[in-house]
Amino acid sequence: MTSNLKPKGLSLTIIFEAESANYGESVGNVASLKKLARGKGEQYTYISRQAIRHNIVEQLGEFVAPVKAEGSGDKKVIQFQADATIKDYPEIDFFGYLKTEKGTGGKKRSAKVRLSNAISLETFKGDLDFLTNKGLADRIKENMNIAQAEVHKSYYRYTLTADLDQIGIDEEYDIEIPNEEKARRVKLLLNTVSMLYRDIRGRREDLKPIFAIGGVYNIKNPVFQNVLDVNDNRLVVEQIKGVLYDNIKDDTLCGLVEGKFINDREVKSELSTVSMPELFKVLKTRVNTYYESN
Amino acid sequence: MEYLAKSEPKETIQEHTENLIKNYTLLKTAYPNLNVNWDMLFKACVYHDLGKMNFKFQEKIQRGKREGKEIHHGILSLAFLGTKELRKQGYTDRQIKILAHSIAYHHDRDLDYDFEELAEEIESLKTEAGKFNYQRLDVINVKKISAKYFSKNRIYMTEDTALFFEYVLLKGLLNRIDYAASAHIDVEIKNNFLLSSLNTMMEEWKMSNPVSTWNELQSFMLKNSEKNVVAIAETGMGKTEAGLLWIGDNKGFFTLPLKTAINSIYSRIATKIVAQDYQERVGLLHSDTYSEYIARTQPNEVDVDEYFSKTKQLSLPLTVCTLDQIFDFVYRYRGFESKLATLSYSKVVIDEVQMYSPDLVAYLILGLYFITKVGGKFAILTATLPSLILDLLREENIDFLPPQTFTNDNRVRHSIKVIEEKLDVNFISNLYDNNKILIICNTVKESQRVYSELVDNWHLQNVNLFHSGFIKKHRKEKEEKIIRMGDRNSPESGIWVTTQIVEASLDIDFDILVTELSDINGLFQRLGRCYRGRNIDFEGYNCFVFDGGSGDCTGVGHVIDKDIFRMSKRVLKGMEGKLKESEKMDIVKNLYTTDNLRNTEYYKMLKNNMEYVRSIEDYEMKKDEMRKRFRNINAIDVIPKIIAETYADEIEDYIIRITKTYSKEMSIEEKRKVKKDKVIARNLLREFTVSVPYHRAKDRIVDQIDINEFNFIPILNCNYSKERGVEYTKEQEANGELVDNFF
Amino acid sequence: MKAIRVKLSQDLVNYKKPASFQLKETYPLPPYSTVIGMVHNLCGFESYKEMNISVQGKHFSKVNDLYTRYEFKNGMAYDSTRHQLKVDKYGISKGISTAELLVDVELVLHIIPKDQELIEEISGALLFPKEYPSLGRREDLCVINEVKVVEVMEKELEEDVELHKNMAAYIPSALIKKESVILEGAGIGGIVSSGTRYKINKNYIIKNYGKNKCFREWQRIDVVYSSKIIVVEESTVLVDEDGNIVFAA
Repeated sequence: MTSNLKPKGLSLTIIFEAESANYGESVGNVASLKKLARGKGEQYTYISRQAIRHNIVEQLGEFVAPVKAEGSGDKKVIQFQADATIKDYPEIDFFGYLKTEKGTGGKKRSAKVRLSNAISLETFKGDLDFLTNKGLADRIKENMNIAQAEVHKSYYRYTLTADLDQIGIDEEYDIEIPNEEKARRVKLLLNTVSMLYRDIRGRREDLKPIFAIGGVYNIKNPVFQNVLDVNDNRLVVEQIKGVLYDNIKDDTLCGLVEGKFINDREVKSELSTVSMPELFKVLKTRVNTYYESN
Repeated sequence: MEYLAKSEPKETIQEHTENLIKNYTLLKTAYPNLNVNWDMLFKACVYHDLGKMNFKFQEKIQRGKREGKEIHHGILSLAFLGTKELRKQGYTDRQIKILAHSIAYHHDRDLDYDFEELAEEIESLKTEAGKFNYQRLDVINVKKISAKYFSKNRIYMTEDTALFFEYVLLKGLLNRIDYAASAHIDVEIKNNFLLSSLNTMMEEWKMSNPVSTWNELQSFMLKNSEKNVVAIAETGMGKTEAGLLWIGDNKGFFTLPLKTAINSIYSRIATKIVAQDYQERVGLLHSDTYSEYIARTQPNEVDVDEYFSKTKQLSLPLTVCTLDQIFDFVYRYRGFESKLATLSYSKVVIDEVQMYSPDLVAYLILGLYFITKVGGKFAILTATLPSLILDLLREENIDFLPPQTFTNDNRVRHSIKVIEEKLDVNFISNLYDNNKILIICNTVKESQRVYSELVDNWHLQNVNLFHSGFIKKHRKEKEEKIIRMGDRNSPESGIWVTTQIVEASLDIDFDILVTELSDINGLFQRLGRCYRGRNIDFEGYNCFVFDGGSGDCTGVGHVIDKDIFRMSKRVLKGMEGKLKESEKMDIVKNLYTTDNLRNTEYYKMLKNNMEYVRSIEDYEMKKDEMRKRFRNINAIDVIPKIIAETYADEIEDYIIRITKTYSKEMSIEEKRKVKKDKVIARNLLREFTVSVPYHRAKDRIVDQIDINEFNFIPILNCNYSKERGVEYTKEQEANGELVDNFF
Repeated sequence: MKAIRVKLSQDLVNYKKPASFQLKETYPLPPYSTVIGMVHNLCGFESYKEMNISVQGKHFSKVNDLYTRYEFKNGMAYDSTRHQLKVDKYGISKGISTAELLVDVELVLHIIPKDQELIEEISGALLFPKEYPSLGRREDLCVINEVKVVEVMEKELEEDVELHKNMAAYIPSALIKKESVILEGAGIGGIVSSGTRYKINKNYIIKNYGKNKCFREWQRIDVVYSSKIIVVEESTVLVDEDGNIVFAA
C-alpha cells in the first residue's frame, strides 16, 4: 500500500551547546572524542547520529506508555522483534526495523525520520581532563590510577528530517494507523527534540535547541544542513539568508533562545525569529493541519 | 625593453640564445651524423630560455629582488612553443612532447606550482612578450602548452623505450650546448688529429728502428675501429696506443681504474702523442682534476679554469678518466642525459677490467648496455679477462666481436714458487741482497707487522712501508719514491712492504716479489710489478706466493671473497717454475666462470647491485644523492690527531683562505682569483687527510676541524707516523682496509 | 542529447566498498550503482532504466567512526556462544565496528538516461523528491543544491580544460588510454602514474543458478579516480552546455 498523502517533509536544523558528549576509541588511557577535520584542516568534534537517535528513543518513552519494569536484565531491541509493529511502537515507525525470519528474506523498513551527525561549530583545541581515583584509593591505602579524557565544550548543529507522508504506513504488514495517531507521534518527536538531553560520564548534557530553523515543506531537501555556522559567538546570518529561496522562505521558521549569541539583535531582525517554545508550537500546528487536511 | 638571461657578466636572453646557436653550429659541423633531429635541437636552443622574461625572474636578476614564489623559467618557456605551428611544419605529437620535455627539464627542478599559479604567470608573460624582440622569432604567441605535450610528467624508459632514448639525446645535447654557451667555451672540439699524431709517432720510431710497425694487437684494433671489441693483451703490448688507434679521429674516452694510472697515461698522451695544443685535445677527469691541472701547468701557459671547464663539460676530443666519472649515468639521476647523449657519439676504451670491484662491474655492464643502445661504441682492453664479464655482456644482449687474445709467448717474465705457509719474514730477510724486493700483503695491519719485524728484528736498512693508511701528503711522497726505485734503470735497491695499493697500473719493476695470496686475479696484477717488461734470465724464482698453508691469508673473509680465495688456492697448489702469459690468461678464463662464481658472495653483490640500480626509477635521484651512493660510503676522510697538532698553523691558514668571502667591490677577475685560491687551499688541506674505514673511525673521533657551517673534517685519535701510517691502539681483528677489489 | 546535472552536498558519508566489513571502507566518490539506485528509488522505477552517469566531486577529509553493529544471518537460531542478543528463537550478534566517513562532500553528477523521454520525470523526482534523498547509506542525507536539464554534446576541445582544483572524478579508463585525459603529476618523485584504478559496479542482472539460487551479476566499469585532471586540446569529449566535462559511463 502506498501513501495517498501528498509528499510533505518536516526538516529542522538545530544548534545546541554541549560538552564532550561522544567518545570514540581511546589511545592508551586517554579517552578521545570523535573528531573530524574540515574547513582549513582544523579538528572538530562530533556526536554521532546513533548517539542522538539513542537519546531520542529513550526519551520518547517518557511521553508514551508506562515505564518498563525495572531491572529486567534482558534488554529488548524492538527493531528486531517479530511481533513488534509500527502500530505499537513509534520508535520503529520512525527509525525502521530489520527482522530475522526463517524461509523469507526477512522484513525491513527504512527510516522515515533521519538525523545527521551533530558537528561542532567551534574547533577542538586539544584540552584534556585529568582524572584519578584518589578518593577510593586512599580508603584502601592503595596507589591511585590516573586517566585523561579529551574535553570540548562547543556549539553543535544537527538536522532532523521526517517524511510525514510515510509515517504510520507499513507495506510489509499492510498497516496504516489513523492520521490523528500519526500527528500525535510526530508532535511527540518534536517535543522530545525540544527537551533533549544526554547522560554521559555522570553528567547530564543539555541538547535543547538554542537556535533552530526549519518547517514543514513540499520540497524534501534539508537545505539548512550546512549553512549554520557560529564564528566568534556570532551566528552567521548571511549564509542562512543565502538559501532562503522564495519557495521555502514562506514555510520557514526560526527559533532563538536569546542571550547566547552576541548578535542576537541582528539574528532577530534579519530572520524574524520567534522564541523556541513558539517555534515548536507553530511546527506542531502545521503537522496537525497537514494530517487533518488529508 | 632589455631582458637579461645572465647577470655576471650581463647577457640578454637574445645574446645568450645566439651563443647557443653558435655552439649548435659547432656541434653540427663537428659531428653531422649525430643521431639527433637537428631541427628539433635548433628549436630547443631558440626557445629554452624565453621563459626568463617573466617579471619575477627579471626583478631578481636585474634588481636582486625576490618576488614570492617563482615558477621555473623552463616551464614558462613552453608557453612560447606554438604547438599548432609546429604541427603545420610536420612535427608529430611525439616530437613535440620530446621537445617540450627537453625544455621543461633543462634545469631539473622540483615542480611545485599548480594550474592556477601557472595560468596567472602565463597571463602576465603576455605583457612581456609584447615588448620582446628577437629576429629569430617572427611571431610570438604565448599560450599554456597542452597537457598532451607536458603536464609535470616524465618520459620513462619502461613506458616507451624509443621515446625515452630520443628524449635523452635531445635533452642531453641541449644541456651540453647550454652549459657551453653559459661557460663561454666550445661545446665540442673536433678530433681531427689523433690518427695523424699516431702516425707521426710511428714515423719517428721508424727513424730509430726501420722495422717498426703496429703490432698484432694494434693492427687488430685499427682494423675493427667501427666495432665493439674485447681484446686480452699482456702487459707491455702497447695497449694505450692500441686504444687510441681504435678511437681514431672520433670523440673518445679512456677509462682506467686508478687516478695514478690516469695521471700517467694522460701525461703520455698529452706530451708524447698529441704534443701540440694538448689543452684543446686531451683532458683528464677524476676527483682531483683541478689540482692536477694546477700542478701540471705553468702559470700563464694555459687558462686552467677554462681547461678545467672544458674537461668537466666533456667538450674535449679525448678524456682520460675514472669509470665513475662517466658511468654514473646508469643511475639515471636528474641531469644524466648530457652524459649519455655525449656517449652516443663517442668511443669508450675500458682498460684493466679485472681491477674493478663488483659494484663497479655492475655499473660497467649497465653502462655499456645504455651506451650501445644509443649508438656509442666500446672496446675492452685488459691483461686478463674473467669469463664472467663476457657472460654478463651477453646476458644484456650487448653486441661485440668475439674476444681476441694477444700474447708474446717467447717472453717469459715470471717463475713462481708457491709456499704453503703464512707469510714468513725470515724468508724475506734471506732474499735481500742489495736488490729490489717488493712485498705485498693483503691488509694494512699485516704490512705493518712485516715492516716492524724487518726493521726491529732484522735491522735491515732501506725498508719502506706503503699502504692506504697514510695522509695524502705522505702518500704522494711514497708513491714518487717507489716509482723512482721501481724504475728498471734506477741503481737504487731496497725493500718495499705494501698492500694492493700498488697492484694497479703503477709502473714499477722489482727484482723479487713476495706476496700473500689474495686471489688469482690479484696475484697476476701483483706479478706485473716484478719483471714488468723483461724476460726472466736466471734459473730459480722471482716470485714467491704464500698461500696461508692450512689456514687463510690475512683479510680473507673481510675484503677478499672466501670462496674465490679457496678456489685460487686449489688452482695454484704445487705450482712451481716458469709461467707463460698465455697460461695466466687461461687460468683466469677457466677460474672466473659464471658457473664457478655463481654461489660466491662476490657474484651476489654484483647481481644485487645491478638489480638495485635497475630498480631505481628514472629521474628519481638528484645528482648529489647519486654521488653519495657512488662514493665508497664505508670510508671516511679524517686527520690524525698528531698531524692536526703538528700542522695547526697551516691548517688554520688554509681554512682562512677557503672561507674567504667575495665582496661586492671585486672585479670578475679578482673573484676568479679568489675562487682558484680556494680550490688550492682546499687541496692543500686535503693533503693532511687519510681515508680510513668507517667502522675503525667511528669510536675514535675526538674532535673536528670546522671549515664552515656545513663542512668539517673529523680528527682521529690514533698513532701516526710517517714511517708506519695510521695505527690503532686497541687490539682488534684484521683491518679491513681493502675494498673487495678483485677485478 | 540531454542530461540532468545535479549538484549536491553531504557532511559525513560512506559509499561502501563491497566486501569491507570490520572497517567499512568508502569509495572516494559514489559509485555509479549508488547514483543509479538513488534515481530509481526517487522515481519509483520498478525495473532498470539504462542510463549513463558522470561522477565528479571532492571531499575534505576522512574519519573513522566507531559505531555499534548488530549482525545476523537471516533465520539463524540463537546460539549463546556467538550471539549477544536473543530475539524470540533467533540470535543476533552485537559488537563494535568502524566506518570510514568522508567529510564535507561536494558532488556534481550528470545523469543521461538512454530513453530521453525520462528526462522530465527524473528531473522532477529530484526537484520534488518523494522522500528526503540520501546517497550512500540510508542515513546519509544529501542537500540538493541544483537540478538542471542540460544539453550534452561531443565536442573537439580548442584548448586544454582543467578540472577545478581539488575536484576529482571517475574517468573511464578508455579516455586515459586514448590520452584524451591526462593526469597531471604523473612522474613526480618517481611515480609513474597517478590516480587509483577501480572496477566500479554499475548495474546488475539477476542470474538464476537453479535450486532457487539467484545471484546478482554486476556489470563493472574500469575507471581511474584522480584529481588534477586535464582534458587535452583536440580531443573529442562530452561537454555540457556550460562547458563542464562529462565523464559518462
